[in-house]
Amino acid sequence: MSVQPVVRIPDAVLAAPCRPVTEIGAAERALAEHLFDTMAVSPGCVGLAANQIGVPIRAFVLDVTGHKKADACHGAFVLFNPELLEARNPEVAREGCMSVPDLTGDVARATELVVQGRDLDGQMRVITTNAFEARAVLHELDHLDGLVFLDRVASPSAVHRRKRYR
Amino acid sequence: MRVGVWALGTDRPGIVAAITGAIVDAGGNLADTSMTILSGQFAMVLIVDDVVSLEDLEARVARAGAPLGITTSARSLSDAHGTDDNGIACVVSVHGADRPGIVHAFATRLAELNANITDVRTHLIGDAASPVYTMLLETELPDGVAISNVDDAVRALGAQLGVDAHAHGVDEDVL
Repeated sequence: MSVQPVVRIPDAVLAAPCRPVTEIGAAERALAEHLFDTMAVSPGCVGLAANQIGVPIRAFVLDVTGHKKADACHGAFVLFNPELLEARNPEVAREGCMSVPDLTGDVARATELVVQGRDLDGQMRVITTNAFEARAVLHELDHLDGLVFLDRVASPSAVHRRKRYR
Repeated sequence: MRVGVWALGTDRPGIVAAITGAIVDAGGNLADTSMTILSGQFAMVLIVDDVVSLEDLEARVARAGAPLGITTSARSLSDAHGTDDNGIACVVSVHGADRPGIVHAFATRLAELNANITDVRTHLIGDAASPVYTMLLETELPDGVAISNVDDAVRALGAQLGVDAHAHGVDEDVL
């Protein structure tokens, strides 16, 4: 296990765009392992961007397996240098973030999208997804551009104190 | 010292700058605030920490607000945190023809259920001939009170009052 501490705002690493990877070697594969392991031990967490563990490169992991809001599901995967190709049909939903404690926000995000990026073997992977997995992809892409959900809400009244949910 | 500051007056540019400037000048540090427009009136509630002199702060915000037509007041607050904000999240929505007593009736019913109201937004919409009242109450439920209990209670009350009322849980997802 290689669980890493999750960085929180106002850490500068969350506020700046991450740099692309030039190759996917041992260091990048280790980073992916850190991200998967950290996500796995974090309750309710379905995605993690590299800068959330303090590494400012363009990579994220995702796994919405078994989530009640998921439709399309590609299991656990990592994308390096992800690029959004298509996004449509936005819907508003409430989301939280491990890097933003205590608050949640109502954010409009596309419910259908196509994203591409490199996998652990450096192969280009094109993922067409929807619903909850699409929301999670867009949340992680925002992290790689130096944005958190607070930068996406439509108004101050769209931010809430985090509650217990049932 | 922790101080609460209230300010209210006809909305115009510069109110936030003026009031918060007075607080900065008094050495205060904003901890938590809520500011919004209510029927054209700009309303501010501010929790201010690190205040050395309540009298000095009160005088400064009054002087800052007066030229803008803003009424202010301030008083010291205890450090007590109040209720534990760890109940189950439940939102109650109410809408229907406007009539006096809607907020009071629902708030009373929710208090009987030990639901803690943590946020309230109300709006009067529609035309003057048939105004429609909308209300959203954010509440926290103690253990043992289910959202379905609250839903049953507010629907029944809504039927008595002739308004639609529902309670629902709120989802959030950690991404």
